[in-house]
Amino acid sequence: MPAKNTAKTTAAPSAYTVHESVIISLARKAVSGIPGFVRFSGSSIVSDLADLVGSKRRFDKSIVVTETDNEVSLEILVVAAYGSKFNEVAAAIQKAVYHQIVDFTGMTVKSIDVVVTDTEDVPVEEKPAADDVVEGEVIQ
Amino acid sequence: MSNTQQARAAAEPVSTVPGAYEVGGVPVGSIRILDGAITTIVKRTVLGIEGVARLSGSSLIDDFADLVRSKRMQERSIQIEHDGEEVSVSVAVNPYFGYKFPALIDEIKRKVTEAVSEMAGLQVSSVRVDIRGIEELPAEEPAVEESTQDPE
Repeated sequence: MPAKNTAKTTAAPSAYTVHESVIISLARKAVSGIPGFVRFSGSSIVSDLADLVGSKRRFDKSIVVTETDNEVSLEILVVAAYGSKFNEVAAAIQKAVYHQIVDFTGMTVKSIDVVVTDTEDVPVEEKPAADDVVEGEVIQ
Repeated sequence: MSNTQQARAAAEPVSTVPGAYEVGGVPVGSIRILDGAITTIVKRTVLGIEGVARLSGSSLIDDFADLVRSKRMQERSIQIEHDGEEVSVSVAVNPYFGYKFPALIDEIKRKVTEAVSEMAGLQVSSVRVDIRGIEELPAEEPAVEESTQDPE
C-alpha cells in the first residue's frame, strides 16, 4: 500500500493519473446540495479554522479515499438533516458520488461507504425576500 | 448481514442499515449510522415532549459540554445498545411535577421508537426510561396550557 498521498496514482490503461485530492473534490462537489445533507462530519469549528488559514487537510478527513489497482473506495462521513431518512440521504450521496467519479475520471468505483455520524437541523439560509416582493408588485 | 458484520455491529457503536444505492443490483457500499446520531435523535425527541424538564445529569456543566460539542455528557443519560439489527435505548429523564409518570413514559417510548425508526431506519426493541429526579415548573411560566394559546 502506498504510504504517501502524493505518490498515489492510478494505473489506468490510458496512462493518466488522478490525484486523491481530485477524487475528494469531485465527491465533495457531488454531495453538496443533496437534500438531507447538512455537512461533512468534522467540518465544524476546527475545520472552519483550518479553512481560514488556507489548509484543506482537515476538511478532507471526512472523505477517505483508498485506491488499489485502478479501483477507488471511498468512505464519506456526513451529518444528516434532523427529520430526514438517513438511508435515503446516504443512498443519494452514494448515487451522486458514484456517477460523479465514474463519469469524470473513468475509474472503477469499488465501494462508497457512507457513515452518518450525527444529525442536525439544516441551517436556515437568509434569503432576501424583500427584493422579490418588490418585483412582484405591479408598479404603475 | 454476515456473522462477522453482526458481531461487529454488536461490538461497535454503529449500525449498518439497508437501502444503499445499487448499480446492476449490487450495492455500491454500506450505509452506517453511528450511535451519536441515534443519541441526538433520542435527545431531541425526549426534550420535545411536554412534561420533560431535562435529561438527568444535564445541568450547567452539560450545557457547557453542549456548547463545546462534547457528546460525553449526553451519553451519560442516553445509552444505545445493539441487539443484532435492532437497538435498545435507555434514557434518564427528570420530569416536571404534575405529570403522571406512566403516561409520560408511554409517550417517551412511543415517540423515541417512532423517531429512531423513521430517521435511522432502525427497529427499536425496547426503550427503558429511568426517572432520576423531578423538577418544579419554572415560576415565570406557570401554566402549561398557557404556552399554546395566545388570546387577544
